Amino acid sequence: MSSLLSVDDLSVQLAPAAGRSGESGSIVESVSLRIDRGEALGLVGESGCGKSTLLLAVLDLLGPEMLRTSGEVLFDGRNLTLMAEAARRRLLGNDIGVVFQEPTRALNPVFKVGEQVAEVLRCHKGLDKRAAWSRAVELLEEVGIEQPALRARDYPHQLSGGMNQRVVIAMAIACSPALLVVDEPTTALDVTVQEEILALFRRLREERGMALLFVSHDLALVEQEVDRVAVMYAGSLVESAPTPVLFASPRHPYTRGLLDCQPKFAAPLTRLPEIGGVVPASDARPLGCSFHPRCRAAESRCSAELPVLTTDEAERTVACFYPLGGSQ
Amino acid sequence: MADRLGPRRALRFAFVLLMFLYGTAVFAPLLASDLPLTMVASNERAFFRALRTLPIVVEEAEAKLGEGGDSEASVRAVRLRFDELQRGLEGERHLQVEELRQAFEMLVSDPSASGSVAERTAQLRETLGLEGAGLEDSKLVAVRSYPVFASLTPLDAFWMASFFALLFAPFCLPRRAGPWLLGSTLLITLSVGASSSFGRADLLSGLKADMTSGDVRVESALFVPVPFGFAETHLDEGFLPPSWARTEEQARNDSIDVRAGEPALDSLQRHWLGTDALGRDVLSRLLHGGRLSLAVGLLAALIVCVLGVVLGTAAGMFGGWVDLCFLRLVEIVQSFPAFLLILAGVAFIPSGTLHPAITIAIVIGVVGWTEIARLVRAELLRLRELELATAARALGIPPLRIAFRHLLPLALPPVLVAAAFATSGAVLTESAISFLGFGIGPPVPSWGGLIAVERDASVWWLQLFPGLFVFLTVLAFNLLGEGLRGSLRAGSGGASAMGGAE
Repeated sequence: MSSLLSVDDLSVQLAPAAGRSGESGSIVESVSLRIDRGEALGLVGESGCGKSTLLLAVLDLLGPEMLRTSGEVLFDGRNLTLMAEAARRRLLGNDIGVVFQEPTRALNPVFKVGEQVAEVLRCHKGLDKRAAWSRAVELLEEVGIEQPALRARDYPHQLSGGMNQRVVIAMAIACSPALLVVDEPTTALDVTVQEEILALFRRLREERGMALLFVSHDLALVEQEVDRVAVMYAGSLVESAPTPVLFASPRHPYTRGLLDCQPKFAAPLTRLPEIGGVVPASDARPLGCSFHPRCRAAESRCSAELPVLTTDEAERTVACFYPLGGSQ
Repeated sequence: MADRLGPRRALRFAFVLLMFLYGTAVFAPLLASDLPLTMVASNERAFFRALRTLPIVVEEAEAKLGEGGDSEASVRAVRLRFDELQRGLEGERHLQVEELRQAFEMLVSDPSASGSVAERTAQLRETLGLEGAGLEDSKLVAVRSYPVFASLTPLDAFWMASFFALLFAPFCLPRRAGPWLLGSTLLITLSVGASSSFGRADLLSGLKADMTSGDVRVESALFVPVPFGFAETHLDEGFLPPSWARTEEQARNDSIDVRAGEPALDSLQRHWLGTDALGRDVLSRLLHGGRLSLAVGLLAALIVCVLGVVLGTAAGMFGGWVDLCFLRLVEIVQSFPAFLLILAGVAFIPSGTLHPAITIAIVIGVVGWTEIARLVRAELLRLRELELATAARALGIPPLRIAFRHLLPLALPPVLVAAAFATSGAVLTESAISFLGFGIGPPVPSWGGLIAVERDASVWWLQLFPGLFVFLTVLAFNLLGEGLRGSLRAGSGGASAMGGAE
């Protein structure tokens, strides 16, 4: 099966700037990903591990303070990184839809939500004002906003967070993209709304057959939504496996740790296990495996050499010298 | 001051003051003019001039038609003469033009009618009253006319209409009032600035003199509240203090002649604010002078805002070498003392290429855009880091469109405040330029120019009142700016939604 999006050896560094001396570490370090047509991939990791930066780098939306130092991104066989600016713009929004974390921040406070959805259609589909508006109202209805014609005339501050997120989703799917990229789409929402939004994603995927790149720090959330999970730590991928496999038997100690941190309803109430320490900053990564200072299974080799991703079984890769065996 | 008033009251105060100032400017021709609003009168001079030409034309017609029969060429030649005569009379509207036309048509275009050419011309003479004694007063008809309105340009009328529209817009269009208000204010500016009504008012200024001398026989006339033209001189009335500050003997100067429609010498209405060296009414000049001063102020502020917003947005959004060039340009412009640069600019643009008001506005605008541009650049530097900018880029919207359509509206509140201050600054600058004699010259009045006319303290009314109007304008725009700043800050609902960083 040909992959829809494939990211190969992507690295991002802080751009060298005046006043900052010395070599800065990579924020994202040689990450490779693959999403097939219609597949849903979850990208998980702690805050600060480079998930969002990776996402921006994939879409080529990095700010001036960050620099992609290596790697290429292929979308549907076309190289995004070599593409001309205008061609990439046509791709973004048209073939790739993006939903950001905070809906109230992604929307422009001075425009009606209907106008903002229509704006995407006008830019990409060349619809005139009226046609774009009526299509925008249809889209709002499709993402489950009641009385869409009325709500389209509201400004973002008049709508709830969940409604705003639906508007953002409507903007992302306006041009029927083949890939929907969502960055922590439910973090800013409360739990009941969260479930509604996730249901919406499921429905949209079923109806449109979109591929999904779901970025989240919440493993439990990802479990229900995606076919495959990639775990990131300190800028690199540490493990990637089909969802049921990964949850049943994680092989990387970090993944194991993350799973242990999930509260379990069946288990008796005990103190939740935690992973000691924090993610090291990009310029203070330890030598060797960057997880080893926090790893309970670390040996001397871990602090000297960098483990590489190895595919040990079918569709399952892990970067660890001492992967955990079987289910525990 | 706005701190004491509070933003709402400052805004209301500014609005009332501006409405007053712009109202007087827009309606100046209806407030102060040497033309009557309406009059019933006959123009004897024009009538006699017409009558003197008529016999000649008729004789010519007789000769032409008589010799060449009904040849096309001679008919055309006669028709030409008549058209000319008719046009001359139509402007005056005191002669029975319609009658003349009918008689003429009978003469030329009815060759089959009974009688020779001689008979027909005789008939024409009779109709026009050229037979016998010749010129008869009975043919002189007093007609009602509206000289002030006739002297208005279409633009003037348009501004008056839009002023009312602007005044009542907040009540008629409660939801879309903001943009409407802004738009019509700008329109008023442009129009007042562009209207060339100054020349027009002088065109008919002979009328009052004719009325006084009796060349125009007046049956009734209604003058505007201040019946003095802004360029109307009363050489024997120079340096007259305001009527309420006048001594008995100044009020009873027999050598001054009172023209038609003017109040009596000792009445309070005669020169409310005194006269200048040439006996021109200061109040009239003030009212008309506001048109130019205010228009220059707004036009300059408009240019400042457009230049500043466009350049600042481009620099803030694109950074890199665009930003570099922008910053250097700003530094170059700012390194010159602004006022000297403006003076030099005004002096270098050859007079006559543009209306002096527009020249001054352009120069002020071109020199003064830097502050707003830096403001907008700073705003955009902040705004482009917002998630909504990234989101827009992620949706594939072109950067130019993001900058001007998505981000610029968010940067506008501080620009609005700066624009209000820029306007007051421009009004002040224009006054200073005119005061120094580089601006709009006499006889066209502007506030700065009025102050400059006489710098002697003994004629205090020549400095006090124009100065007061400049002060009121600057106060109004500063209050507007303060009020906008206060209310935009208070209305932080938008600000927090803009990114929560506020």
